[in-house]
Amino acid sequence: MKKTPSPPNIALFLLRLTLPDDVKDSVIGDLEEEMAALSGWNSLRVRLWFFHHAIVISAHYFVDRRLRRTIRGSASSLGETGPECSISHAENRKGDGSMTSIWQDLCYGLRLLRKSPGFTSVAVISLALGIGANTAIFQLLNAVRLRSLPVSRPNELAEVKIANTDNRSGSFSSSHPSITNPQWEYIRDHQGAFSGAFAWSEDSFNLAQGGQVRPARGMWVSGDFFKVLGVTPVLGRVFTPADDRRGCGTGGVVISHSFWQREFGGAPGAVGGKLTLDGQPFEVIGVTPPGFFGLEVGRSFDIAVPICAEQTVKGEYSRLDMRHGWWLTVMGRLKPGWTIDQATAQLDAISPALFQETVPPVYNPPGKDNYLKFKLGAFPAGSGVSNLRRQYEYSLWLLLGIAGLVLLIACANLANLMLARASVREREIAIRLALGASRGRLIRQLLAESLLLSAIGAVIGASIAQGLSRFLVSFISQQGRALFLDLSPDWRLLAFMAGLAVFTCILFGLTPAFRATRTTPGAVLKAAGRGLTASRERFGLRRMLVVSQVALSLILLVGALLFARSLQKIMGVDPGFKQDGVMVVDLDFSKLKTSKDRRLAYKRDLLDRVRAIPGVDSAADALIVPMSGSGWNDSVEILGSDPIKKGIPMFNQVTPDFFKTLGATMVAGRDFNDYDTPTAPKVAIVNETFARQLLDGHDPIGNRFQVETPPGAPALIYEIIGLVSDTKYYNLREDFKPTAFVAASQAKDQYEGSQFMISSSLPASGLTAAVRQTILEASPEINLDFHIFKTQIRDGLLQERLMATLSGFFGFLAVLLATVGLYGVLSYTVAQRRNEIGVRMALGADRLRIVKLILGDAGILLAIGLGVGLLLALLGAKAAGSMLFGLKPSDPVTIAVAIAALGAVGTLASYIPARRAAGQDPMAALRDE
Amino acid sequence: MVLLAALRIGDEAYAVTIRREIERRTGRSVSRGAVYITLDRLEKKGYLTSYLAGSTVERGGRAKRYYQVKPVGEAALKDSWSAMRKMWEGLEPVVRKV
Repeated sequence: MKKTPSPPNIALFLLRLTLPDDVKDSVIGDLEEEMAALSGWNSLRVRLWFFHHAIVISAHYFVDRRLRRTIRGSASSLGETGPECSISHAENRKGDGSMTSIWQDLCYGLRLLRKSPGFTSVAVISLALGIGANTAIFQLLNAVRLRSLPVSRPNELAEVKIANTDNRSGSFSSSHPSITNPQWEYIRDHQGAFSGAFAWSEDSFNLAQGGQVRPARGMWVSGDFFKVLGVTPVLGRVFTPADDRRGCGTGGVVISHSFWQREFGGAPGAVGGKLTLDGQPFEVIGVTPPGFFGLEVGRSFDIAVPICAEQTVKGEYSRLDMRHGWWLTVMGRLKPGWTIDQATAQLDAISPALFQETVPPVYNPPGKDNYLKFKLGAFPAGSGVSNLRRQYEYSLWLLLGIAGLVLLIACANLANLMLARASVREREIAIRLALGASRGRLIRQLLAESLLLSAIGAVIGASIAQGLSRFLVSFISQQGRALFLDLSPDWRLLAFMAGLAVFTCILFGLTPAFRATRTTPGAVLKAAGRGLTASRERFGLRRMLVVSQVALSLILLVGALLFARSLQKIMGVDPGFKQDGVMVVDLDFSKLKTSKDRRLAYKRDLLDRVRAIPGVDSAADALIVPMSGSGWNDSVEILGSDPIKKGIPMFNQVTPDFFKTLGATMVAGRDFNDYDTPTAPKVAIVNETFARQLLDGHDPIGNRFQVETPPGAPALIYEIIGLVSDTKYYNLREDFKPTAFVAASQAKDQYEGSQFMISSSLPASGLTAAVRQTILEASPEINLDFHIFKTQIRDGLLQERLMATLSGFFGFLAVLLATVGLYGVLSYTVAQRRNEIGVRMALGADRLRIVKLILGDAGILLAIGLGVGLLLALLGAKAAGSMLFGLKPSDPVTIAVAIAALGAVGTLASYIPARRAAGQDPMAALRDE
Repeated sequence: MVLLAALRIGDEAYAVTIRREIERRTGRSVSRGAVYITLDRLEKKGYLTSYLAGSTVERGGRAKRYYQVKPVGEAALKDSWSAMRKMWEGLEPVVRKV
């Protein structure tokens, strides 16, 4: 049986807001019951059904409540038949601002809107799309940038990091590597700026004990983490400093609410339950409350582990004593009355001693001097830390601007429609003015319609926003790294939506309302229903609106085309390797506890097994998978160079067949082979950019370079044995970097894990199954994680794809709205000029001349709009300059195409009314005089 | 009509069944909102009494609000029926011609 979709949250919110407490549940239950009976309908239709009836029922209750209040409050009884909507009632009280008459205006406005369903639908849809799009993007911005962390008094939190430079070297192994553990321990013991300080870092743990990896999002935390943040557990307890003492081994962990629901079914018995993290046993001691997701916006956590346990879990790779291992984020709560500046001053004071005590021994003298100059500072951290924010904040603001322009265009359309409606109602308004209605009263009535349209548009827009923001979040989620953002409505979001509704109402409602009531009643009545001189003025306003629509649409179209072409260019970049048919397998055999001297042979054996799988073309082991975000560089000096040539090329450590697997070309020399043993002279393969930048383009084969090593360490000299074509290192946007590849067989440190890159024509699922079977045959305790190489590369282009997709959608919407606006105004022109056209045709003008006449009119509007739009586009496109690839914001081809496209569409839209004008019967037109 | 429908249905009278009964018998569609408001008003007037029961999974675990016509309500129906009958007296031939 088909599962019934869940009711839309906005509809439920509306019902809960408007229904009395005693009937809320039963009414919602009734709707859910009826919804469950609609089993033959598709999910969208069911949800729309629910939404529709929720609005109707809410409206009934709202009206009923207003009516009761009105009956209680006003002297005259209105009876129980329904709210009084007659105009005469209102007219008798000139300038009456009471709630009754405002209520009557709304009722009357609702009736009028119901009478013109076509106009109302168009208006509501345009507003809903415009407000919905803006709200969705604001929702994301709110979650990423503006919202405070769900902890107590987040404005008191400050982050501690190096304030005076970002020139740090060493090993960086988390998404926010600000502080090393030795530095943290010093801060913890010596700081005086905070009432409490804590450190944390994100990580990933494997819950499985062999076979397919079962990842959980982890967080290393110090003992005071939860206490300083004011997070109280819903079950069990949270950490204390006693839980985070050196040498603690494996002890307790605190799990998140969602993890508790998922893994333990929300059972109270979870406390005391056992978990295995990377093969180490832990016990659950507590569960955090549902709203707490950690301190990194865009990421939530499953399991929090004390920092001291890192030694046991990571073993020989522990960073606890690694003075050059940057991985922690440190924060503190300011002492009462203290400011950020005061905290910075205090941290600055302890900096010299701190860095003196923690200077890494592996640094060379210049490195040490640089380290000792570091100074700590405090930075506001009320909204947490976020890589997501850094990556997407600018794009989101830009998109909000774009969506705002679309809303403006929609409002211009609506203003035009309202002006047209107002001119149709001229007589009615004139009569009412003549009967004594005040101008203010009439304006209020006209505004009531606009307000209703805005309100309904906003409510539907809210629903659109929910769907759109969820789509956006899933769009920017990456393979294996689901994005977590708190999209629940807060006061900022509701204020934004309410503000938009009011703003749009004023924008498209006020001017038509003013204009409509400016007519002198006598003149209108004498004109017996035909247009007035005043209408010419109004028509000038309508033409101006269309010109502004065309201008704004051009800006958006130019933006959309720029982003689309930028994406196209970047996707066309040749990365130097092939993207299709390559799979990446992360292997972790740390559970086997192989000794260091046996690891190389073991990895080679596994690789040979994988190579032997039918369908596998080639396979290789790589320390760093291209485009994965990881990187390694080192200072080198070319031996025998005069003058001395130095540089900092990128490095990678690979096995034979790496270049074959990636489809890179061996230009000269040879690949690594079995003769490159640990005891043989060290060899390296370099790329063309290396040869060009560091060897002046000469044949690199036979040249040698030395890698800078810490004082006292043995010299590291490599002989270049091969030259390979350039390949991208981090992402597609960068220029090719000089890169040196060294042999995995000659590496000093062999890790208990590998990254195999496999080239095969087999489908992904088949290859995954075959590789898993082969590896697990070697040992069932090896952990495996599979990634498709191409998807990884695509993930690196997320920002470009996001901008291209959304700006394209908005650009299309803008052009559509502007075209509708242009068509509307020209249709009106044709209708107004009916007599004139009739006269011209009677005097001998043929169809073609009439069409040219109308098109000429349209052409003027288009030309002015395109001209203004071009100027604004050139100014505005600069904002997007940094996000483009391979083109400038003022790219002439793009602008020319946009102008041509908009001009063509506009002309087509004008042609239809022009043909209609030429096709009319001149006698009928003249008879209407 | 709401009172009559509730009387007809008996024990299983709640908003959903009441509305369906009216639609079935009269052949006209009835707004859900109008039914809820009317039930509310009739209860406040003392013509109906209600109680919660019968939560099910389809209803998200929410109870139904069942309605029962009170003697006062029945009396009001009788008065209304009597008044209508008196107004109709003699008009049937006129209406049949329309």
